[in-house]
Amino acid sequence: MNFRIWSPLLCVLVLISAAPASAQRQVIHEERSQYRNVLVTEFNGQRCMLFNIHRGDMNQTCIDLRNPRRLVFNYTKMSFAGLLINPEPERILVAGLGGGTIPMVMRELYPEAEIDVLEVDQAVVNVAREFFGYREDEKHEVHVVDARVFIKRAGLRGDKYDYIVLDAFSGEYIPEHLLTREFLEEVKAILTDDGVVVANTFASSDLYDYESVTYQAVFGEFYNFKRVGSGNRIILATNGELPELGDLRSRSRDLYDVLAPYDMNILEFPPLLTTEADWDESTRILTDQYSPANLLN
Amino acid sequence: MQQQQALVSVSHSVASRLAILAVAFINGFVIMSIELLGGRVLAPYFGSSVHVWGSIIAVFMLSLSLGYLWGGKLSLRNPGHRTFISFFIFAALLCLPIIYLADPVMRTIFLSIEDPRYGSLWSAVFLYFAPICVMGMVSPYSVRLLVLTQEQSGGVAGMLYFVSTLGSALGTLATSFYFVMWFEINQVMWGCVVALLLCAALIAFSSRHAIKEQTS
Repeated sequence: MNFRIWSPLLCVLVLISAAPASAQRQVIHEERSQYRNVLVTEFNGQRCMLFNIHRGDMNQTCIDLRNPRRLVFNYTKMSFAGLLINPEPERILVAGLGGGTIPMVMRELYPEAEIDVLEVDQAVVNVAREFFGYREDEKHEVHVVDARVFIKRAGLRGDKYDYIVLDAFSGEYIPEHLLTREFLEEVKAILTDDGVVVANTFASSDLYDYESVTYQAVFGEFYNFKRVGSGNRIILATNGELPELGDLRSRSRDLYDVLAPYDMNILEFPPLLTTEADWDESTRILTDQYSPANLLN
Repeated sequence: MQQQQALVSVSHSVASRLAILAVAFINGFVIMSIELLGGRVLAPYFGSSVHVWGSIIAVFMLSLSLGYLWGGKLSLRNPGHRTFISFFIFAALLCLPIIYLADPVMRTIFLSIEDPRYGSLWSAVFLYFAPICVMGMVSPYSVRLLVLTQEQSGGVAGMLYFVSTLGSALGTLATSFYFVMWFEINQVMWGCVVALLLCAALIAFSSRHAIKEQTS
Protein backbone atom coordinates (compact mmCIF):
# COMPACT_ATOMS: atom_id res chain seq x y z
CA MET A 1 0.00 0.00 0.00
CA ASN A 2 1.15 3.48 -0.76
CA PHE A 3 1.94 5.18 2.53
CA ARG A 4 1.46 8.67 1.05
CA ILE A 5 -2.18 7.88 0.52
CA TRP A 6 -2.73 6.14 3.81
CA SER A 7 -0.79 8.42 6.13
CA PRO A 8 -3.50 11.10 6.47
CA LEU A 9 -5.98 8.37 7.24
CA LEU A 10 -3.64 6.91 9.81
CA CYS A 11 -3.22 10.33 11.40
CA VAL A 12 -6.98 10.63 11.68
CA LEU A 13 -7.24 7.19 13.22
CA VAL A 14 -4.50 7.97 15.71
CA LEU A 15 -6.22 11.23 16.62
CA ILE A 16 -9.59 9.57 17.05
CA SER A 17 -8.15 6.95 19.33
CA ALA A 18 -6.01 9.47 21.24
CA ALA A 19 -8.66 12.15 21.78
CA PRO A 20 -10.92 10.28 24.20
CA ALA A 21 -7.97 9.07 26.21
CA SER A 22 -6.55 12.55 26.67
CA ALA A 23 -9.92 14.03 27.59
CA GLN A 24 -10.88 11.04 29.77
CA ARG A 25 -13.92 10.91 27.60
CA GLN A 26 -15.22 7.57 26.54
CA VAL A 27 -16.96 7.11 23.22
CA ILE A 28 -19.61 4.50 23.90
CA HIS A 29 -21.35 4.60 20.54
CA GLU A 30 -20.97 5.98 17.04
CA GLU A 31 -24.04 6.16 14.81
CA ARG A 32 -23.57 6.51 11.08
CA SER A 33 -25.49 9.42 9.62
CA GLN A 34 -26.35 10.91 6.23
CA TYR A 35 -25.01 14.17 7.61
CA ARG A 36 -22.39 13.91 10.33
CA ASN A 37 -21.82 10.83 12.38
CA VAL A 38 -23.31 11.07 15.84
CA LEU A 39 -21.12 10.15 18.79
CA VAL A 40 -22.23 9.27 22.28
CA THR A 41 -19.68 9.90 24.99
CA GLU A 42 -19.55 9.43 28.74
CA PHE A 43 -17.50 11.64 30.98
CA ASN A 44 -17.76 12.64 34.58
CA GLY A 45 -21.18 11.10 35.10
CA GLN A 46 -22.61 12.81 32.03
CA ARG A 47 -23.65 11.22 28.79
CA CYS A 48 -23.44 13.51 25.77
CA MET A 49 -24.34 13.49 22.10
CA LEU A 50 -21.73 15.07 19.84
CA PHE A 51 -21.36 15.71 16.15
CA ASN A 52 -17.67 16.50 16.11
CA ILE A 53 -15.26 15.23 18.70
CA HIS A 54 -12.27 17.17 17.42
CA ARG A 55 -13.81 20.53 18.14
CA GLY A 56 -14.26 19.53 21.76
CA ASP A 57 -17.11 21.86 22.54
CA MET A 58 -19.65 20.44 20.17
CA ASN A 59 -21.88 18.78 22.74
CA GLN A 60 -25.34 18.75 21.27
CA THR A 61 -27.02 17.55 24.38
CA CYS A 62 -26.05 15.97 27.68
CA ILE A 63 -27.81 14.15 30.47
CA ASP A 64 -26.73 13.67 34.04
CA LEU A 65 -26.57 9.90 34.54
CA ARG A 66 -26.99 10.19 38.31
CA ASN A 67 -29.99 12.49 38.04
CA PRO A 68 -31.48 12.26 34.55
CA ARG A 69 -34.11 14.91 35.29
CA ARG A 70 -31.52 17.58 35.95
CA LEU A 71 -31.08 19.73 32.85
CA VAL A 72 -27.41 20.13 32.08
CA PHE A 73 -27.39 23.01 29.63
CA ASN A 74 -28.26 26.58 30.35
CA TYR A 75 -29.95 27.13 27.02
CA THR A 76 -32.19 24.10 27.52
CA LYS A 77 -33.35 25.60 30.81
CA MET A 78 -33.71 29.00 29.19
CA SER A 79 -35.98 27.60 26.51
CA PHE A 80 -38.62 26.89 29.18
CA ALA A 81 -39.01 30.65 29.58
CA GLY A 82 -41.68 30.24 26.90
CA LEU A 83 -43.92 28.84 29.67
CA LEU A 84 -43.98 32.33 31.20
CA ILE A 85 -45.89 33.49 28.12
CA ASN A 86 -47.98 30.38 27.57
CA PRO A 87 -48.14 28.35 30.81
CA GLU A 88 -50.74 25.91 29.43
CA PRO A 89 -49.53 24.67 26.02
CA GLU A 90 -51.79 22.18 24.28
CA ARG A 91 -50.09 21.72 20.89
CA ILE A 92 -46.32 21.81 21.01
CA LEU A 93 -43.91 21.84 18.05
CA VAL A 94 -40.18 21.35 18.64
CA ALA A 95 -37.83 21.79 15.68
CA GLY A 96 -34.56 20.00 16.47
CA LEU A 97 -34.57 16.86 18.61
CA GLY A 98 -31.08 16.58 20.12
CA GLY A 99 -31.37 14.08 22.95
CA GLY A 100 -35.09 14.76 23.23
CA THR A 101 -34.77 16.64 26.52
CA ILE A 102 -37.19 19.45 25.71
CA PRO A 103 -40.06 17.25 24.42
CA MET A 104 -39.61 14.72 27.25
CA VAL A 105 -39.78 17.42 29.92
CA MET A 106 -42.79 18.93 28.16
CA ARG A 107 -44.48 15.52 28.20
CA GLU A 108 -43.88 15.18 31.95
CA LEU A 109 -45.19 18.68 32.60
CA TYR A 110 -48.17 18.43 30.25
CA PRO A 111 -49.34 14.81 29.91
CA GLU A 112 -52.29 15.85 27.74
CA ALA A 113 -50.40 18.03 25.23
CA GLU A 114 -49.92 16.99 21.63
CA ILE A 115 -46.24 17.11 20.74
CA ASP A 116 -44.67 17.09 17.27
CA VAL A 117 -40.89 16.98 17.01
CA LEU A 118 -38.98 17.69 13.79
CA GLU A 119 -35.53 16.23 13.23
CA VAL A 120 -33.81 16.08 9.87
CA ASP A 121 -31.37 13.31 10.82
CA GLN A 122 -32.63 9.77 11.48
CA ALA A 123 -29.35 8.98 13.24
CA VAL A 124 -30.11 11.58 15.92
CA VAL A 125 -33.53 10.00 16.48
CA ASN A 126 -31.95 6.54 16.83
CA VAL A 127 -29.35 7.76 19.31
CA ALA A 128 -31.91 9.73 21.34
CA ARG A 129 -34.07 6.62 21.67
CA GLU A 130 -31.26 4.26 22.49
CA PHE A 131 -29.03 6.34 24.74
CA PHE A 132 -31.08 9.26 26.04
CA GLY A 133 -34.31 7.56 27.00
CA TYR A 134 -36.32 9.41 24.38
CA ARG A 135 -39.81 7.93 24.12
CA GLU A 136 -42.72 8.86 21.90
CA ASP A 137 -46.34 8.06 22.70
CA GLU A 138 -49.68 8.24 20.92
CA LYS A 139 -49.78 12.04 21.23
CA HIS A 140 -46.06 12.59 20.77
CA GLU A 141 -44.44 11.93 17.43
CA VAL A 142 -41.02 12.65 15.94
CA HIS A 143 -40.99 13.40 12.21
CA VAL A 144 -37.78 12.88 10.26
CA VAL A 145 -38.11 15.89 8.00
CA ASP A 146 -36.63 19.28 7.31
CA ALA A 147 -38.36 21.78 9.61
CA ARG A 148 -39.06 24.18 6.76
CA VAL A 149 -40.89 21.51 4.77
CA PHE A 150 -42.99 20.35 7.74
CA ILE A 151 -43.94 23.88 8.80
CA LYS A 152 -44.86 24.91 5.26
CA ARG A 153 -47.15 21.87 4.98
CA ALA A 154 -48.62 22.48 8.44
CA GLY A 155 -49.51 25.98 7.27
CA LEU A 156 -51.21 24.65 4.15
CA ARG A 157 -53.23 22.21 6.25
CA GLY A 158 -54.20 25.04 8.59
CA ASP A 159 -52.62 23.35 11.62
CA LYS A 160 -51.85 25.57 14.61
CA TYR A 161 -49.47 25.23 17.52
CA ASP A 162 -49.46 27.27 20.71
CA TYR A 163 -45.86 26.53 21.74
CA ILE A 164 -43.15 26.40 19.06
CA VAL A 165 -39.51 25.76 19.93
CA LEU A 166 -36.95 26.50 17.19
CA ASP A 167 -33.77 24.74 18.22
CA ALA A 168 -32.35 23.42 14.96
CA PHE A 169 -29.36 25.71 14.96
CA SER A 170 -26.71 24.11 17.12
CA GLY A 171 -23.69 22.55 15.52
CA GLU A 172 -21.26 23.87 12.99
CA TYR A 173 -23.45 24.30 9.98
CA ILE A 174 -26.40 26.65 10.28
CA PRO A 175 -29.44 25.81 8.18
CA GLU A 176 -29.74 29.16 6.45
CA HIS A 177 -33.27 28.58 5.21
CA LEU A 178 -34.44 28.46 8.84
CA LEU A 179 -33.31 32.00 9.61
CA THR A 180 -35.11 33.95 6.92
CA ARG A 181 -38.07 36.31 7.08
CA GLU A 182 -40.09 33.99 4.85
CA PHE A 183 -39.50 31.05 7.20
CA LEU A 184 -40.47 33.08 10.26
CA GLU A 185 -43.63 34.19 8.46
CA GLU A 186 -44.47 30.53 7.90
CA VAL A 187 -43.85 29.88 11.60
CA LYS A 188 -46.04 32.82 12.55
CA ALA A 189 -48.82 31.48 10.33
CA ILE A 190 -49.06 28.26 12.38
CA LEU A 191 -48.83 30.04 15.75
CA THR A 192 -52.09 30.51 17.68
CA ASP A 193 -53.04 33.97 18.92
CA ASP A 194 -52.03 33.13 22.49
CA GLY A 195 -49.04 30.99 21.46
CA VAL A 196 -45.34 31.62 21.84
CA VAL A 197 -42.28 31.02 19.67
CA VAL A 198 -39.15 30.13 21.60
CA ALA A 199 -36.07 30.44 19.40
CA ASN A 200 -32.60 29.41 20.47
CA THR A 201 -30.23 31.71 18.60
CA PHE A 202 -26.64 32.89 18.61
CA ALA A 203 -25.68 35.42 21.28
CA SER A 204 -22.29 36.28 19.85
CA SER A 205 -21.09 36.75 16.28
CA ASP A 206 -22.48 39.06 13.61
CA LEU A 207 -25.51 36.82 13.31
CA TYR A 208 -26.94 38.32 16.51
CA ASP A 209 -27.78 41.57 14.73
CA TYR A 210 -29.10 39.85 11.61
CA GLU A 211 -31.36 37.48 13.52
CA SER A 212 -32.61 40.24 15.79
CA VAL A 213 -33.77 42.52 12.97
CA THR A 214 -35.32 39.58 11.10
CA TYR A 215 -37.38 38.42 14.12
CA GLN A 216 -38.34 42.04 14.73
CA ALA A 217 -39.50 42.45 11.14
CA VAL A 218 -41.81 39.45 11.43
CA PHE A 219 -43.00 39.46 15.05
CA GLY A 220 -42.49 43.08 16.08
CA GLU A 221 -41.31 43.56 19.64
CA PHE A 222 -40.08 40.38 21.37
CA TYR A 223 -38.53 39.38 24.67
CA ASN A 224 -34.79 38.94 24.50
CA PHE A 225 -33.28 36.55 27.03
CA LYS A 226 -29.54 36.25 27.63
CA ARG A 227 -27.55 34.89 30.54
CA VAL A 228 -23.96 35.56 31.41
CA GLY A 229 -21.77 32.62 30.47
CA SER A 230 -24.13 31.23 27.87
CA GLY A 231 -23.38 31.63 24.18
CA ASN A 232 -27.07 31.42 23.48
CA ARG A 233 -29.81 33.95 23.32
CA ILE A 234 -33.46 32.97 23.55
CA ILE A 235 -36.04 34.95 21.63
CA LEU A 236 -39.62 34.82 22.93
CA ALA A 237 -42.04 36.07 20.31
CA THR A 238 -45.81 36.09 20.03
CA ASN A 239 -48.49 36.70 17.44
CA GLY A 240 -49.84 39.80 19.17
CA GLU A 241 -49.05 41.94 22.17
CA LEU A 242 -46.39 40.69 24.55
CA PRO A 243 -47.62 40.08 28.11
CA GLU A 244 -46.44 42.54 30.77
CA LEU A 245 -43.35 41.69 32.80
CA GLY A 246 -45.54 41.76 35.92
CA ASP A 247 -47.63 38.88 34.53
CA LEU A 248 -44.48 36.94 33.81
CA ARG A 249 -43.30 37.40 37.38
CA SER A 250 -46.50 36.02 38.84
CA ARG A 251 -46.42 33.09 36.41
CA SER A 252 -42.85 32.31 37.35
CA ARG A 253 -44.00 31.92 40.97
CA ASP A 254 -46.73 29.50 39.84
CA LEU A 255 -44.24 27.48 37.78
CA TYR A 256 -41.39 27.43 40.27
CA ASP A 257 -42.37 24.19 42.06
CA VAL A 258 -42.95 22.09 38.94
CA LEU A 259 -39.70 23.20 37.30
CA ALA A 260 -37.43 22.94 40.35
CA PRO A 261 -36.83 19.17 39.95
CA TYR A 262 -35.19 19.92 36.59
CA ASP A 263 -32.66 22.17 38.31
CA MET A 264 -34.39 25.24 36.93
CA ASN A 265 -35.01 28.35 38.95
CA ILE A 266 -37.55 30.11 36.80
CA LEU A 267 -37.81 32.98 39.30
CA GLU A 268 -34.48 34.17 37.88
CA PHE A 269 -35.88 34.46 34.37
CA PRO A 270 -38.29 37.44 34.31
CA PRO A 271 -35.74 40.07 35.45
CA LEU A 272 -33.47 38.98 32.58
CA LEU A 273 -36.11 39.42 29.88
CA THR A 274 -36.02 42.67 27.99
CA THR A 275 -37.61 44.21 24.93
CA GLU A 276 -34.78 46.68 24.58
CA ALA A 277 -32.93 46.48 21.26
CA ASP A 278 -29.20 46.07 21.95
CA TRP A 279 -28.40 45.34 18.31
CA ASP A 280 -27.71 47.43 15.25
CA GLU A 281 -31.19 48.11 13.89
CA SER A 282 -29.89 49.15 10.48
CA THR A 283 -28.71 45.57 9.83
CA ARG A 284 -30.03 43.89 6.71
CA ILE A 285 -32.94 41.50 7.17
CA LEU A 286 -32.26 37.85 6.23
CA THR A 287 -34.49 36.63 3.41
CA ASP A 288 -34.69 33.57 1.17
CA GLN A 289 -32.86 35.71 -1.38
CA TYR A 290 -30.22 36.83 1.08
CA SER A 291 -29.15 34.53 3.89
CA PRO A 292 -25.37 34.15 4.16
CA ALA A 293 -25.64 32.95 7.77
CA ASN A 294 -22.70 30.58 7.62
CA LEU A 295 -20.47 33.38 6.39
CA LEU A 296 -21.59 35.69 9.16
CA ASN A 297 -21.13 33.33 12.08
CA MET B 1 -15.21 24.74 -51.64
CA GLN B 2 -13.39 22.88 -48.92
CA GLN B 3 -11.29 25.96 -48.29
CA GLN B 4 -14.41 28.04 -47.76
CA GLN B 5 -15.97 25.59 -45.34
CA ALA B 6 -12.80 25.66 -43.31
CA LEU B 7 -13.08 29.44 -43.22
CA VAL B 8 -16.37 29.44 -41.37
CA SER B 9 -16.02 26.32 -39.32
CA VAL B 10 -12.72 26.83 -37.53
CA SER B 11 -11.09 29.79 -35.89
CA HIS B 12 -7.66 30.61 -37.21
CA SER B 13 -7.01 34.00 -35.73
CA VAL B 14 -5.50 34.37 -32.29
CA ALA B 15 -8.26 36.76 -31.20
CA SER B 16 -11.08 34.40 -32.03
CA ARG B 17 -9.27 31.41 -30.49
CA LEU B 18 -8.76 33.38 -27.29
CA ALA B 19 -12.39 34.44 -27.38
CA ILE B 20 -13.49 30.80 -27.49
CA LEU B 21 -11.30 29.94 -24.51
CA ALA B 22 -12.66 32.97 -22.65
CA VAL B 23 -16.28 32.00 -23.19
CA ALA B 24 -15.52 28.40 -22.19
CA PHE B 25 -14.15 29.79 -18.94
CA ILE B 26 -17.17 32.03 -18.33
CA ASN B 27 -19.51 29.17 -19.23
CA GLY B 28 -17.86 26.92 -16.64
CA PHE B 29 -18.00 29.70 -14.07
CA VAL B 30 -21.70 30.37 -14.66
CA ILE B 31 -22.67 26.68 -14.51
CA MET B 32 -21.25 26.20 -11.04
CA SER B 33 -22.49 29.55 -9.80
CA ILE B 34 -26.03 28.55 -10.80
CA GLU B 35 -25.58 25.09 -9.26
CA LEU B 36 -24.48 26.54 -5.96
CA LEU B 37 -27.39 28.95 -5.90
CA GLY B 38 -29.70 26.04 -6.75
CA GLY B 39 -29.43 24.75 -3.19
CA ARG B 40 -30.69 28.08 -1.92
CA VAL B 41 -33.44 28.30 -4.50
CA LEU B 42 -34.83 24.88 -3.52
CA ALA B 43 -34.34 25.14 0.26
CA PRO B 44 -37.51 27.14 1.07
CA TYR B 45 -39.67 24.34 -0.36
CA PHE B 46 -37.62 21.19 0.08
CA GLY B 47 -35.16 22.00 2.85
CA SER B 48 -31.43 21.64 2.70
CA SER B 49 -31.29 17.95 3.46
CA VAL B 50 -28.66 15.86 1.77
CA HIS B 51 -31.14 14.63 -0.86
CA VAL B 52 -31.82 18.17 -2.08
CA TRP B 53 -28.16 18.52 -2.95
CA GLY B 54 -28.28 15.03 -4.42
CA SER B 55 -31.11 16.11 -6.72
CA ILE B 56 -29.36 19.26 -7.84
CA ILE B 57 -26.03 17.61 -8.55
CA ALA B 58 -27.67 14.68 -10.34
CA VAL B 59 -29.75 16.97 -12.57
CA PHE B 60 -26.75 19.16 -13.40
CA MET B 61 -24.67 16.11 -14.30
CA LEU B 62 -27.47 14.66 -16.42
CA SER B 63 -28.03 17.99 -18.19
CA LEU B 64 -24.34 18.40 -18.91
CA SER B 65 -23.94 14.84 -20.16
CA LEU B 66 -26.80 15.21 -22.64
CA GLY B 67 -25.56 18.68 -23.54
CA TYR B 68 -22.14 17.25 -24.39
CA LEU B 69 -23.74 14.55 -26.50
CA TRP B 70 -26.04 16.88 -28.45
CA GLY B 71 -23.46 19.66 -28.72
CA GLY B 72 -21.05 17.16 -30.23
CA LYS B 73 -23.73 15.94 -32.65
CA LEU B 74 -24.58 19.49 -33.69
CA SER B 75 -20.92 20.21 -34.42
CA LEU B 76 -21.01 17.57 -37.16
CA ARG B 77 -23.44 19.56 -39.33
CA ASN B 78 -22.43 22.96 -40.68
CA PRO B 79 -20.44 24.03 -37.67
CA GLY B 80 -19.99 27.77 -37.37
CA HIS B 81 -19.92 30.71 -35.08
CA ARG B 82 -23.58 31.52 -35.58
CA THR B 83 -24.72 28.29 -33.89
CA PHE B 84 -22.11 28.82 -31.20
CA ILE B 85 -23.43 32.32 -30.49
CA SER B 86 -26.99 31.05 -30.33
CA PHE B 87 -26.03 28.61 -27.52
CA PHE B 88 -25.23 31.54 -25.25
CA ILE B 89 -28.33 33.49 -26.19
CA PHE B 90 -30.55 30.45 -25.56
CA ALA B 91 -28.77 29.66 -22.31
CA ALA B 92 -29.28 33.25 -21.12
CA LEU B 93 -32.98 33.17 -22.02
CA LEU B 94 -33.46 29.77 -20.38
CA CYS B 95 -32.04 31.19 -17.14
CA LEU B 96 -34.90 33.69 -16.90
CA PRO B 97 -37.45 31.09 -15.67
CA ILE B 98 -35.12 30.40 -12.72
CA ILE B 99 -35.56 34.05 -11.79
CA TYR B 100 -39.23 34.50 -12.58
CA LEU B 101 -40.89 31.09 -12.39
CA ALA B 102 -39.02 29.30 -9.59
CA ASP B 103 -41.69 30.08 -6.99
CA PRO B 104 -44.78 29.01 -8.95
CA VAL B 105 -42.99 25.93 -10.31
CA MET B 106 -41.82 24.81 -6.87
CA ARG B 107 -45.18 25.62 -5.27
CA THR B 108 -46.98 23.43 -7.80
CA ILE B 109 -44.55 20.58 -7.28
CA PHE B 110 -44.61 21.00 -3.49
CA LEU B 111 -48.40 20.67 -3.54
CA SER B 112 -48.48 17.60 -5.76
CA ILE B 113 -45.46 15.63 -4.50
CA GLU B 114 -45.31 14.86 -0.77
CA ASP B 115 -41.81 13.35 -0.71
CA PRO B 116 -39.21 16.16 -0.67
CA ARG B 117 -36.69 13.91 -2.41
CA TYR B 118 -38.79 13.68 -5.56
CA GLY B 119 -40.12 17.21 -5.13
CA SER B 120 -36.60 18.59 -5.23
CA LEU B 121 -35.63 16.27 -8.08
CA TRP B 122 -38.53 17.39 -10.31
CA SER B 123 -38.03 21.04 -9.41
CA ALA B 124 -34.38 20.77 -10.37
CA VAL B 125 -35.35 19.10 -13.66
CA PHE B 126 -37.89 21.80 -14.56
CA LEU B 127 -35.73 24.74 -13.58
CA TYR B 128 -32.24 23.66 -14.55
CA PHE B 129 -32.30 20.96 -17.20
CA ALA B 130 -32.77 23.20 -20.25
CA PRO B 131 -30.27 25.99 -19.50
CA ILE B 132 -27.55 23.68 -18.19
CA CYS B 133 -28.01 21.29 -21.12
CA VAL B 134 -27.43 24.18 -23.54
CA MET B 135 -24.39 25.29 -21.55
CA GLY B 136 -23.07 21.74 -21.79
CA MET B 137 -23.26 21.96 -25.61
CA VAL B 138 -20.65 24.71 -25.53
CA SER B 139 -17.75 22.39 -24.66
CA PRO B 140 -17.72 19.92 -27.57
CA TYR B 141 -18.66 22.69 -29.97
CA SER B 142 -15.67 24.73 -28.81
CA VAL B 143 -13.42 21.77 -29.53
CA ARG B 144 -14.80 21.63 -33.08
CA LEU B 145 -14.16 25.33 -33.62
CA LEU B 146 -10.62 25.21 -32.27
CA VAL B 147 -9.23 21.98 -33.73
CA LEU B 148 -7.24 22.62 -36.90
CA THR B 149 -5.51 19.29 -37.29
CA GLN B 150 -5.96 15.83 -35.91
CA GLU B 151 -2.62 15.90 -34.08
CA GLN B 152 -3.74 18.94 -32.10
CA SER B 153 -7.11 17.62 -31.09
CA GLY B 154 -6.04 16.15 -27.75
CA GLY B 155 -4.19 19.29 -26.79
CA VAL B 156 -7.12 21.50 -27.73
CA ALA B 157 -9.59 19.36 -25.81
CA GLY B 158 -7.26 19.37 -22.80
CA MET B 159 -6.94 23.13 -22.92
CA LEU B 160 -10.72 23.53 -23.09
CA TYR B 161 -11.33 21.17 -20.18
CA PHE B 162 -8.70 23.12 -18.30
CA VAL B 163 -10.22 26.58 -18.78
CA SER B 164 -13.84 25.52 -18.36
CA THR B 165 -13.19 23.46 -15.23
CA LEU B 166 -11.00 26.21 -13.83
CA GLY B 167 -13.94 28.54 -14.46
CA SER B 168 -16.19 26.10 -12.62
CA ALA B 169 -13.85 26.01 -9.64
CA LEU B 170 -13.69 29.79 -9.43
CA GLY B 171 -17.44 30.11 -9.96
CA THR B 172 -18.04 27.77 -7.03
CA LEU B 173 -15.66 29.65 -4.77
CA ALA B 174 -16.70 33.14 -5.75
CA THR B 175 -20.39 32.35 -5.31
CA SER B 176 -20.13 30.51 -2.01
CA PHE B 177 -17.52 32.78 -0.44
CA TYR B 178 -18.60 36.19 -1.67
CA PHE B 179 -21.58 36.53 -4.00
CA VAL B 180 -24.12 35.17 -1.50
CA MET B 181 -22.89 37.72 1.01
CA TRP B 182 -22.86 40.66 -1.39
CA PHE B 183 -25.94 40.00 -3.50
CA GLU B 184 -29.38 38.46 -3.51
CA ILE B 185 -29.80 35.17 -5.35
CA ASN B 186 -31.63 36.79 -8.27
CA GLN B 187 -29.02 39.51 -8.60
CA VAL B 188 -26.36 36.82 -9.07
CA MET B 189 -28.66 35.06 -11.55
CA TRP B 190 -28.94 38.29 -13.53
CA GLY B 191 -25.16 38.50 -13.44
CA CYS B 192 -25.07 35.03 -15.03
CA VAL B 193 -27.55 36.08 -17.72
CA VAL B 194 -25.47 39.15 -18.55
CA ALA B 195 -22.25 37.09 -18.58
CA LEU B 196 -23.80 34.63 -21.06
CA LEU B 197 -24.94 37.48 -23.32
CA LEU B 198 -21.44 38.94 -23.14
CA CYS B 199 -20.12 35.57 -24.30
CA ALA B 200 -22.40 35.77 -27.33
CA ALA B 201 -21.26 39.32 -28.05
CA LEU B 202 -17.60 38.39 -27.66
CA ILE B 203 -17.86 35.51 -30.14
CA ALA B 204 -19.88 37.62 -32.58
CA PHE B 205 -17.34 40.40 -32.45
CA SER B 206 -14.23 38.23 -32.67
CA SER B 207 -15.56 36.03 -35.50
CA ARG B 208 -16.67 39.01 -37.59
CA HIS B 209 -13.29 40.52 -37.06
CA ALA B 210 -11.58 37.29 -38.08
CA ILE B 211 -13.65 36.88 -41.24
CA LYS B 212 -12.91 40.43 -42.29
CA GLU B 213 -9.23 39.81 -41.71
CA GLN B 214 -9.27 36.72 -43.89
CA THR B 215 -11.33 38.08 -46.74
CA SER B 216 -9.38 41.30 -47.10
